[in-house]
Amino acid sequence: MRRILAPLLSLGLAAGMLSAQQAHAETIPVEVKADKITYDKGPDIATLTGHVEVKVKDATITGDELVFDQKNQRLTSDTHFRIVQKDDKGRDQVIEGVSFEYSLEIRRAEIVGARASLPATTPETFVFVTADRMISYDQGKRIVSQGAMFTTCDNVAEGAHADAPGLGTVHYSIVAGILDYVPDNRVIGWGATINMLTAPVYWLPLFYVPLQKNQIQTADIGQNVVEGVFVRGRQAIPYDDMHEGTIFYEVMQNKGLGLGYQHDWSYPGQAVASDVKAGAVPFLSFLGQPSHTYLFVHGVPLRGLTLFPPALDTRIAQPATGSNATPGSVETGTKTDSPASTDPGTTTPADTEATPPTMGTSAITVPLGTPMHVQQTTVNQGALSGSDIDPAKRGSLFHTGNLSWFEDYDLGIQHRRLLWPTAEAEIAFYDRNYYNLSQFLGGRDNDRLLRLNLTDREAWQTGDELLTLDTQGNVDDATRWLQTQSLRDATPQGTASTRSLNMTMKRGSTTLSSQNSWNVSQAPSIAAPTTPLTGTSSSTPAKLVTQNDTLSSNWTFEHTLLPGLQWSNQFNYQQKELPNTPTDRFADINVGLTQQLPWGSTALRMFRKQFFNVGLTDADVQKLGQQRGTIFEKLPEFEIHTNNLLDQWFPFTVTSTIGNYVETIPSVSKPVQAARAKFDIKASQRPLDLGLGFKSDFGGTGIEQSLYSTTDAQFSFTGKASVTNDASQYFRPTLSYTKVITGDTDPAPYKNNTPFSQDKTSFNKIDQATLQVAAINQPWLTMTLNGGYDFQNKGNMPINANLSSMASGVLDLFDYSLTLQSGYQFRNFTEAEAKAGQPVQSLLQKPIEVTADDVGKFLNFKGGQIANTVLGFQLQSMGGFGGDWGKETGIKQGASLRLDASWDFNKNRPQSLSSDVSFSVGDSWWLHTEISLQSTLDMAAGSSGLTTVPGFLPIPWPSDVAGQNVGVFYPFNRIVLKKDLHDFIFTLSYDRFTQGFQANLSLVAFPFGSDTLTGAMTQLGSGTLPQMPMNR
Amino acid sequence: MMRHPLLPLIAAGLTLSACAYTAPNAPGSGRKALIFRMDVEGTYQVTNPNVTYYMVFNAAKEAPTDPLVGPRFNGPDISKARDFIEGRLPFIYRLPNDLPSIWTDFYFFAGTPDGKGRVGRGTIREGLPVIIDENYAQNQWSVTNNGKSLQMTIFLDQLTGNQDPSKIGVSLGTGDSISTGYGMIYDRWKNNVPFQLEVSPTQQRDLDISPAMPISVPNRPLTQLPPGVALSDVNIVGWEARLGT
Repeated sequence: MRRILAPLLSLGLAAGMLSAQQAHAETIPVEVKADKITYDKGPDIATLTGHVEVKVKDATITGDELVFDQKNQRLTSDTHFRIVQKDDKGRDQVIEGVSFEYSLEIRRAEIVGARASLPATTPETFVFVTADRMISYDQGKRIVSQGAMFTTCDNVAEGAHADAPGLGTVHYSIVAGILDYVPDNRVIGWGATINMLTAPVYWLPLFYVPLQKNQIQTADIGQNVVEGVFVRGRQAIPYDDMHEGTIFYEVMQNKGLGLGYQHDWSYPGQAVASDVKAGAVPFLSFLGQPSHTYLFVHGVPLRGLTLFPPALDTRIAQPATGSNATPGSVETGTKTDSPASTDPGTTTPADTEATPPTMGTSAITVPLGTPMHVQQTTVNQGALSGSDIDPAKRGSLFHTGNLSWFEDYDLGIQHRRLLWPTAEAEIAFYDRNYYNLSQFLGGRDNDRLLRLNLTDREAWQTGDELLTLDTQGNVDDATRWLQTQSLRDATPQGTASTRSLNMTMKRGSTTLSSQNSWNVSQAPSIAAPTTPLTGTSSSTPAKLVTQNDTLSSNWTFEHTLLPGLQWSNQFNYQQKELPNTPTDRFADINVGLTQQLPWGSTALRMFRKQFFNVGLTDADVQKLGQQRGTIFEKLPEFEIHTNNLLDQWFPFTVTSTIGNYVETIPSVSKPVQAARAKFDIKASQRPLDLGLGFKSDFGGTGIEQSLYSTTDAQFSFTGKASVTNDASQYFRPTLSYTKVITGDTDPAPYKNNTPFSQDKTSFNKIDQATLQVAAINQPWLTMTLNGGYDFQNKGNMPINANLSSMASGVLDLFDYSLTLQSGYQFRNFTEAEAKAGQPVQSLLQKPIEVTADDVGKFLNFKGGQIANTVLGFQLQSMGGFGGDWGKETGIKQGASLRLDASWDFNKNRPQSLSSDVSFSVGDSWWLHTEISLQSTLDMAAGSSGLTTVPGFLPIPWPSDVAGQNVGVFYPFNRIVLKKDLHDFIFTLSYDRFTQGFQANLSLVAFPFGSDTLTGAMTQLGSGTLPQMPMNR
Repeated sequence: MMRHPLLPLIAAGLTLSACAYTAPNAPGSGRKALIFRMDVEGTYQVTNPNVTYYMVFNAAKEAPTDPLVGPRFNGPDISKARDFIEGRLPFIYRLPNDLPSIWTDFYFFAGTPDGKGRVGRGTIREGLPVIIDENYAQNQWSVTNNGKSLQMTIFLDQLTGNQDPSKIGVSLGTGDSISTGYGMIYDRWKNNVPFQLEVSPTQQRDLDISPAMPISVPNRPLTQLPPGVALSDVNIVGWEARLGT
């Protein structure tokens, strides 16, 4: 290939001879190929004929004849041509037509008789546009067409793109007078007709299709127990480049109408140089800085409005009937029975709907399948806050009652802006008072939140130094209200707020940082249960108490004095108030000086806990002591630590520490103060090759000696040895032995002793051997067996047995993965038990006789139990399946099964079971269907008195306790069915949590489903702004 | 061979270590402690405050007879905002028909920007979960074994239930930030079945070779690992425990 600069063109090339040239007009390189090129020097026009190929920037133009006007930097063609150009993401856009004009400078193409296939969001899917006239701006960043047709159905393609062959009748299309398409953003059509197959079915003056995930419009249809049957959707509204709006709408059987509006205003701001510093910008100029404003309003305008006759209204439930109503209990509206009367085989959701309730009685009541005493237990654990309320008040949730406006609402406003290039401010206010979609929660979500945030990251040069100041302030208030009350004057259910202020300053090698926060939460107190297991205490909410009130101020100062010499200082103040204890005020003070040296390191440390409490009684001190736990202060401590010594032969480290310490423990009124010198030599891990595949390691072996100013002293000698053999890759045994010798049993005056409770060497006392045997044939099969014996306490250590196996392409049919875990736990008997001669309890709580021979007996299986046996199994057709939508052929069919189960061999019953089955059938779109089913076995522990009540399609599992079920098997926790409709995916799902069904349609090319609406509300409920980049 | 400057120090230490001297017992000498170790497949996220490692105990005065009764990682209280601690702890709530999570004490490890990490402990007061100590004494825990193990000294007299239990119900799990998270569950011990720990001087231990499996909770954002955190870093693969006296 020859490179020639414009206006030089090769004129002497014979027809039929392939020519390759490159013209360079100003700064735009153009590479051309053609059978024949003629050049008219006067107007500076080249005419290319036969197998023309022109490459300009990321576009390639091919055709039979093309005219290149070099003076005006313009390419034109009056014959059939094809443009292949790269979009922003590097994907190929293909445009064909009968004539075109292409401007090199602005990369604009004007095409007549255009057909375009443009990449969509889903890989290998396309948007197809045909038009009488089409203009592609800036190499396809925006395409405007006249007399246009838009579709994602690849039947229109007819070979326009290699991956979209085109086969027949287009399933749907939008024909518009003017079509404005911005890839991955939106499509606007004016005077738009919607065609199904070839028949026009609807006409709109303006048709807008957003193509971004958070804007795509949806139309969901579904049903749940709270809203009844519903239809909801969203419609994006474009304003201009800075403003975007979205309308939400809902029609619900039980709730009436729901409306919402969201608005985003992204203001790009005025140009300010990025290196402008604070103070250089006039204060008022921050009004011109980039900003992002977000507004959201959503609600049910008119509460009490019902669209359907009462018989269809599922809001209100059947009053308690007959003897099933237990005084003081919470009614389910159908049956809240004693465990004995629960019959999972007779009560179903259908029963619930078949018994029209009475207004004013309980409606959404207890969480499904929750027995009363279990609720109480859980309430005691701080959960299930909606289940502890007066049943009479529950009715107010869905009581038709008087009409009230916007009782259910959710609104928020958030504004974020740059103050100057290094500083940003944010203010947000959210207020939510909305019913909860889940009957299981049975209540309302109420939050009010105010957030103020200021971030300043300022940097400026002061000579050679750089000072960075990073501050952040945050105020976050969330208020929650009693779930059963719908109005704001109700008793608060709880409040929580967070206020924080953080700052970091850095100059050279010096850093000062501070984190300050004040967290307050209040909740209704629940009388502490006598034992958390019985759950028999009162579940009546009491007055609002301070659950947590913590003010914390942490300051850290770090400075590098010399290379390797680091000074650090931390001052952490905390003021903490918890239920049942007085406020505790204290500061943790840490000072450290560390020096890294070629042979090791030295460190000087001090830790002091300083209390600032006054007027405490002895009882208060005792309570706070239990809360504080053990405190060990260093006043100060000096440590020398070496790197590995004799690193080539037998590496070991030496550590020597000397310090003055104060230990405070809850059970002792006076702290203990003593000085200690500690010396520690420890071998490092380093395998030694013994030959024949044997390797030994003595890592951890060492000696420790401590001397105290109280004339106490203690030592310990640790011997560790392990031998492994890896000669065979299929069998690897490892034997380890650890013995820690301490002077605890030595006669006085040599007996070990320490004035402190937490550094006793006896804590480390061990005399045990362990064996691990691994049979390995990776990845097909790996089995490991672990066990050991404790010589010191004469006891067998538990045996763990594990197996894992996985394989791909077994019999060219399937892949699988399997893990199986089990073991055995020994009942180790003491000599005292044997001497007593009384029956003792086995691990299974059964009385057994024990003799002296049983004490310390190796592998004594008497009284032991088999450990939990856990199975994890996954089987799928080889290489996976599904995921391709809208294809004429070649969709991979298959199935997968995942099973996680635990089995109690001691009681011969399951402990947990969950499964996930999914499959895909049909290799062509018209048959292609994918289904996913999730199932669980919900356990009820019969012997502990916990029971269960029936749920959706219950299958009782027999228990070892007569008349009780061990659990209920739910075959359908979640069902998702997806049907391929070539251009669309129809999704139908059921979720047991909300007991709701939902159906929606999504485009194959833009696979954004209907869950985005619910997702947006969840985000708002949790106070999270959908992440949108701020223009800067 | 060149004489190492620390040889005299080593020699002196060896000499000192040959003897021990006795003084009367200190007041706290009879304290018993649970020496507990929790291992992860990867490494503990010591610098990342967005991952929390939990050890949850049920040290009830009356030990449950049913092994299914104990702590469980079913999720946070999804009816509470995350401003409340019960809206952030992943072992509070239960989905429909789940067995309740029964516990008395919990300990947690969370990373800190300075790379040291911190351990805290909590319990139940007036029926409400609370964190009673944000910074557990540093000499009572350490991250060892090349960042794969958390070694804890838990004094039994600090437990709020039974302070001298013979058996403790335990469950282990990992989740998102205990300070600002949503109560997400990254991993939980063996199909979420609690285990009964024999409080014995003979070492007890177990392994879990199954991979971590993040659990999504209704009414909460989809569970996702924080950036830079691998699934192996939150996968609990084993524990060891014994009674120290």
